[in-house]
Amino acid sequence: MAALDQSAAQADSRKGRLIATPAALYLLFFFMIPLGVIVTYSFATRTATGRTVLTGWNLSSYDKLFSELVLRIIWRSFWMASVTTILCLLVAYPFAYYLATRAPKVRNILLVLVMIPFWTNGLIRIFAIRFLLGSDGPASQLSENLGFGTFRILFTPTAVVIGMVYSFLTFMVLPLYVAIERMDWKLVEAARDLYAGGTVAFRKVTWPLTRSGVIAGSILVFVPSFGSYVVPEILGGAKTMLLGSYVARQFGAARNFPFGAALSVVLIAVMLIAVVINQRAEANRA
Amino acid sequence: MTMNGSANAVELHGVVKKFGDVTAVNCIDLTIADGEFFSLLGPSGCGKTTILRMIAGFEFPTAGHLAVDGQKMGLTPPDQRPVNTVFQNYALFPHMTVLENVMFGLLMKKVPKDKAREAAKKVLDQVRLGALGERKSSQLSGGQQQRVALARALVNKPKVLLLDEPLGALDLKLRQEMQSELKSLHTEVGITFVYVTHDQEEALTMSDRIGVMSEGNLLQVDTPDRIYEHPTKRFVADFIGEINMLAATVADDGTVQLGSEQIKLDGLSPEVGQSFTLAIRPESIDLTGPDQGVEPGLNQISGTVTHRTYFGDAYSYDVETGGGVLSVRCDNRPDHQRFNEGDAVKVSWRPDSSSVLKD
Repeated sequence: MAALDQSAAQADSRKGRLIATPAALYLLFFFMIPLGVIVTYSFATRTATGRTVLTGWNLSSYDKLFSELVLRIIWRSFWMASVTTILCLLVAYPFAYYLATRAPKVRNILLVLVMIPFWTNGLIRIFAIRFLLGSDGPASQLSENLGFGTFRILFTPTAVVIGMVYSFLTFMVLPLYVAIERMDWKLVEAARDLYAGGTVAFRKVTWPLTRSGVIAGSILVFVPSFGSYVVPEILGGAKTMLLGSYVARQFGAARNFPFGAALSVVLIAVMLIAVVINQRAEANRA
Repeated sequence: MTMNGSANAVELHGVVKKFGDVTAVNCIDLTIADGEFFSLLGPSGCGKTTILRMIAGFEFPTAGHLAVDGQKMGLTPPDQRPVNTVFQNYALFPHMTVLENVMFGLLMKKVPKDKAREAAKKVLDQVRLGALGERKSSQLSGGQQQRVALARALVNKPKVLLLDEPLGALDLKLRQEMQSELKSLHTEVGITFVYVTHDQEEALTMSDRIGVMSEGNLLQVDTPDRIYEHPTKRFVADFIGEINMLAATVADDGTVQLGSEQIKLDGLSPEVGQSFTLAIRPESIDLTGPDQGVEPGLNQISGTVTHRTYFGDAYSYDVETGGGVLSVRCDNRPDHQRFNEGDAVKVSWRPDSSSVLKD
């Protein structure tokens, strides 16, 4: 009997492995190997002509991370990603709350509306924002017609943050929606029943119970914002160099693959830390 | 509006609740006395929970008004009402410990933390959960969660405790245990309990009074024994237990014509010629041999046993009579005279143990 059980379990796990094989192979070739290449390159040497030599392993690329210029770029990327995350949270939470409390029919329509922008190429949408925010663009003209004068925000950090909030908002909305939607509203009623006013009930019950969504959404927004390349390239100015663009530059004009690789490793490390924080928080809740 | 201690715990005056086109609660007048254990009994969707939610302040009446402890409630939000609720699935805060759950209401009322903790511990002891204060609610069994929910509400010493099918999620054994525990807790704390259930047995065993509801209407409000023994509406008779319902008319000499038989009826005197439904519980009917003497003054009809069912503690007989088929239930006692299918028998009952039903 036990032997039969065991062989059945073995067959099951064999079948499971078989199903996972395509994905495993794909990730091995297009994720694990490139990742290994990047890590390897980060310890390699750049010759004077910009070639990468895979001998004489060293940490000089990591040393360069601590130069003032690089630290400033990392810091700028960090706070712009933070501002983007906070703004996304402020915009998305009320909306996700509204979404989750509608009748299922309305909810589905609104969810589709949230997704629709993704049917258009992201690059084109960012160019549209560039047009919108330009000093002679519609936003500026509207402001002038209303008597507030024209404004210049294109090619400033503000424009980059606006663009990033726009690009990543959905990543905040969806996990928040899921968290709020699956919350038991009876718990809020229980809090109200136990003398908590509306605001207090939100603070003591709704917010803590939807925190998993807040954390998941924040990571999903923070991570791509931190390494964002397209948005700052199109909406940011020369003065607001961010990490993503800086990495790209190392692999492009600067031809410093080892340094670019080291920067990428740092990015990956930051994201890993974020994921670990999330999992810790989840584990604490359970 | 009285402000003294003898105010009614809950009063409903012409309360109507509509959700869109659907009338959930249809013009209900009801007074629940201070300290009473009152049950709202009815099938799901009958509006009983809606009434509870209106008392709690989660819903507001479409028309009419309600008062708690003599105070008109109007649009008073739930946090400002002197009532607490035990929710159907307990609704314990999963991110708090048992003790934090129980302290919640007190802290919201700005009771100092150490005092709140002390009071919470005391109530947890009262529901025999004193040792589990530091657990998370998800680590408790259903019965324990039920007790925490009770403690969390009772610790606030509300004027009225609202219980929404609180035993529905428990298994039979635990449910029976909790029934007697709830009843003694009610006596102990002296708080008015308004208890919503679809379980007739729960309502009958625990309540001081029961209100039976159907389709948004409150059909009959009475003590458990009156509800069971003398239902006034067809629905009430049918919903609670088994009952014989027979078509009857009032004969001109004041007796009741039941098919080809004539019987007597106590108390009620409907008009001559009027037809109505006569209801009588199977266990209120006695079964005897055709030649046995029957106490004078009882209604008696002769008939034939058509079917017998054995229940262990009782026998159930179907008896064909001139007045219709009667279901008769006899306790299976050593002296019980057993009848077989086809036996000629006599059925008899006291004139005051039958009821007159309106629709």
